[in-house]
Order: sequence, then structure tokens, then C-alpha cells
Amino acid sequence: MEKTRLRKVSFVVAVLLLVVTAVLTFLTWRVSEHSEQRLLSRQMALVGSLLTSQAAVLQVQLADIAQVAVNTDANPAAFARFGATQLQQTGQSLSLWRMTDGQAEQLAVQGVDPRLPAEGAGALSVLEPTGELVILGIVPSEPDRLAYGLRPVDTDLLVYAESPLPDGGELAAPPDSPMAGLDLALYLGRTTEPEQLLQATGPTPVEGDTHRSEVPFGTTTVTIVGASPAHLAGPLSAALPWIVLGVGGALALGSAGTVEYVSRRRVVAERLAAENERLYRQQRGIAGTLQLALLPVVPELTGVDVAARYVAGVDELEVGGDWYDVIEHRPGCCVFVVGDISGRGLPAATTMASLRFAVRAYLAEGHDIEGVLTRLRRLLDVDVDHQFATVLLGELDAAAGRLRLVSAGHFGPVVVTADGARLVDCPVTPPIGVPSRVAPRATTVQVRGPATLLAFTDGAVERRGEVVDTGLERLRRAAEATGARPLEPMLDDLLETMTADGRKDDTVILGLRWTG
Amino acid sequence: MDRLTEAPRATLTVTADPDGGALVVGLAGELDIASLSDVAPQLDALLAREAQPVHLDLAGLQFMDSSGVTVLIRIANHFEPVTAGNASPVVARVVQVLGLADRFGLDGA
Repeated sequence: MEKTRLRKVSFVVAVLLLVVTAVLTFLTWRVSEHSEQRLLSRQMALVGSLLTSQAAVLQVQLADIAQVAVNTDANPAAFARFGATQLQQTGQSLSLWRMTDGQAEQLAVQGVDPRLPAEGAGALSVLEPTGELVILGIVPSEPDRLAYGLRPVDTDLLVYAESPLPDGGELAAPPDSPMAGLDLALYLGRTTEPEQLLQATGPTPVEGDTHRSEVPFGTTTVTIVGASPAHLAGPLSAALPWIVLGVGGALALGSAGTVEYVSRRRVVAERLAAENERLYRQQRGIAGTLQLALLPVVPELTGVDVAARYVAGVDELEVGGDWYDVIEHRPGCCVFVVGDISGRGLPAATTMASLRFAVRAYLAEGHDIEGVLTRLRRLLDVDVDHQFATVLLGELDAAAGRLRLVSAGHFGPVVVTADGARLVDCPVTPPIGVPSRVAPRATTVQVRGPATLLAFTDGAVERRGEVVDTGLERLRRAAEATGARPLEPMLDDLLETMTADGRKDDTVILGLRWTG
Repeated sequence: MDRLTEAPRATLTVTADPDGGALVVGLAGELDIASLSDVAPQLDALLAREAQPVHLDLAGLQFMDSSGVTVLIRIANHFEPVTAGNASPVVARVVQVLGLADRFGLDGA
């Protein structure tokens, strides 16, 4: 498991949350744009209606002047007097004309002199006696002028006016006007040619995301092109997509980081648990394997049946140091060993191993069982090893029915014959590992076959809270009860009986049967 | 681990005889392989003392297995002479079965 590599789940979480964030950001941006467009179009509609009402104002203004001229029969003095009240800005030109057979004749002028469109006074012939405001176009001048006129119904008089356009077309909008905050350009007609520009709030052509609308203006049309350089819905609305992106991104990375952290912690914990489990199994495995490997397969002997049972204690991690062995010493004679190391685990198993092989070695050297026991004492010291061993060594001459026994702190065997079962009483010397100045002396017992001998370790008979004699008597009776059965099932029966009430320690039962 | 925490603890106490006689070592509780570590520090301290007469008071000892016997044996190996008394039948029998009754002057109760 590489530490530096991002875990797949963290990556998925990060990507998923980032995708969600991206979608939300896009939606927020779309909503913001949409409301921006709506606000712009509403504001431009407002500008449009303002223009329309301005056209109406102009029409009323010109119609009033024309009416005064008609009523005074084109009296120049009256025209001048009334016209002066109507002139609102400098540079404006107001003039009264009479149309005769398609020819326009100037009757009076108020304000500056009219420039007239390129075709001169003839251009005025387009003015029909309809009483409508007619926009004649933009007259090039310094500054350009907007030319417009009106001819009342059923009259040959007409009023012609020129109003200067803002210089260069630009006109700063007052902050409370509908044009405030917008880039706006108003064009005369349906096109946006630069020469048709009426006025603008900034440089033209208008840049950015423009919105366009046309409103009627007198007999013509004004095209409005607008864009919003700033967000009409306010700075928060504009920043919202970025806020969503930022917060979402941070959440995604934070969540991925948290997932990464938690999952790494879990992996570490799992690894530790697995390691502990492995160490546990290893320790248990080494000791258990060692002990099982050291317990021999019972040999085939002439004249003697051999069977053995070994059961590990309840706490299987801590294997004990129980062992048994059967060695053919010389033809017709075998030596058997049952032993128990005080203590448990690997130290007990290794001590057991050295003692078991030592017994075989000393026998091979030709020593009798007393000699073997004496030499075993040199191999273990309770002060050094903090262990001692109990050992029962026996030599069986089946043909002669003679049994010789030496014990170092170990129980004597149970012998089952036709007369019943009895515990063989044999002198016990101190265990191996405990200094003993007494030389072991073997006990000799005559046992005529058919007979069965049972050697065992304390696991079979010891129970907490009872004297060991109780356990020994339980074993003796069980052996007597099942003594008639074949050796293998007999040992199974015994094991079942002796471990029925629960057992804590390792248990070995070794059985020898001879007919002799 | 439950077994360790639930098992009654074994204790080893050392009392000097006011009359200047044998050192009295009291063993109590249940002395088995699981509780062996409970008395290990006190045992090491005891075995660091000079050899002198010791009397083992086993009155408080309710149970002892072969691992527990190693404590008695190590004390017996270090001090001279070592006597024991007040052993319950269960404890005395364990010592006797191991062939160590003579060593502690226990008659099997």
C-alpha cells in the first residue's frame, strides 16, 4: 500500500463534489445572467417609453407654435414671442415656413439660423398637412443637429426646428435617470450607422453583451442599443457563481481530505490488527508446531500395543510442555516416558524437546532408567531456567511381566488387570531441575498379562479446588470401567471422562497393553 | 486476558521474626502459571537476601499448581534450612506428589 497515492474513494468523492460544484456554479451563473438580461431589457423599455414621451412633447410643442402662427396669420412678431418661450436650449433653431406649390418660403426665424438638410428648403416639402411630428434626419453641423418639423392640418404653414445633438453624441446620464449605469446608444432609424447616432452615454459602438430595441419616434423609429457594464442586480449577484464555486471547491477538497484521512486511519488500524493476529498465530503456531512435531508417532512393538493421546489446554496459545515417548530398548523390552515441564509456551516446548532427545540419547548409550534420570538432572536448573520437569520413566519386559519404574516428581502409572485397576505406588524423587542428593532407585512390579498400563500427566487428574487424589481415583475407576475395551477406544473413553468437567492444562495419556 | 484479571491474585509477603529467628515468608491466594508474575518482584527481592533460615507460611494459599511450586523450590534452593507449615491438604499434596515433601518438612498434612 503506497502512502503517497490518493485512495480511490477520496478521488471519487473529490471528483463527484467538484462536478456538483461545477453544475451549481453554472446554474447560478445562468440565473444571474438571465436576471441581468431581464433587468437590462426592462431598463431599456423604460428608456424607450421616455423617448416616446419626448417625441410627444416635441409634437405638442411644435403644434402649439404652429397653431399660434395660424391664428396670427403667420405674424412674425407673435411667432418670435411665442417661439422664444419654447426654446429650451442654446443652438436650437425654430423657423416658420409657408408652403406654396411645393416651394418653401421662410417667414420667421427664432434662435440660430436653420442649416436645413442637404437638399435645402426643398426637403421641407415632405411635410404633409397631417399635424404629425416628422423627423427629417440629422443635419451635419458643429455639432450635428436633429431636424424635425410639423405642418398642421389644412394649412400651408409649417414649423421647422433643429436641435443640436450632444457633441460627439456623448451625453452623461444623470444618476437618477433610467440611463444611469447603462452603456446606451440611440440611433435614428433602424440601423446603427455612426452618422445616425443621436446620443450615447459612452463611446460607440456599445461593447459587450448588448441588447437592442426599437421605439417609434414621431414618424420614424429610434433604435436603442444598450449594455450593462456593471451588474444591475448588484455585486452579490455577480459574485454568487464565484462564491458557489469557491465554497463548493473547498468543500469538495475538504471532504476528499477527510475521507482520505479516515480511510488511511482505518487501513492503519486494520494493518495493526492483522499484524497482531499474525503475531498471535505465529507464536501459537511455533509452539504448537514444535510440540506436535516433537510428539512421536507411537512405535510398533512386538508383544505390546501402544496408543497415546495428547490434548492441548484450554488456552491453546500457551501450549504446555507435556510429552511422551516409547523406545524399544532391546528386543521384548521397551522404555516409556511421560513428562511435564512446569510452565508453558515456547520455553516449555523447547525444554521438553531437549529432555525427550536426551532420554533417547542416554538410552542409546546403554544407560538404564536410573542412569537416564540421574543424567537428566544435569540438564535443567530451576534457579536458572525457572522451570522444572516431572518425569516418569518405565521399563517394561512384557514377556516376563516385569515393570521397573523411576519417578522424578511424577505420578506413578495406573495398571489395569483382570483383578481391577490400581495406582502403582512408586517412590518419588524431586523433579528434574531441583537439586537432589538421593540417587534414584527403581521400583520393580510384577504384572502378569494381559494387562494395560496407563501413564499420564497432571492435566488428566488435577482439578482446581480438589485434592489430586480425587482426580487419581476418578482416573482409576474410569480405567477399570473401560479396561475391557480395545486400547484405542479405551483411551478415547478415558479422555472423555477425565475432561468432561472442563480442563485447563495439557493432557497426555499413554497406554501400553500386553498379553505376556 | 479476562482470565488474568479475574483470577484471584497471589501474594508473597516477607516478615522478619521479631525474636530474630527464621524469616517468615507468607504465600497467599492461588499460585499458578497465570499469577506467577504477581509475586515475581517480591520473589526476586527475597532471593537477593543473604542465606538464612526461612519458614514458609502457606496458610493463605488456596491452590498451587506445578508452576507455583517453582516459587517454593527456588526459595528452598536459596535458603537453608527451609521449613513449611499451615499448608492446606490440596497444597500439601501437590508438594508431596512432586516428591518434595521431605524438602519442606511437610508430612502431607
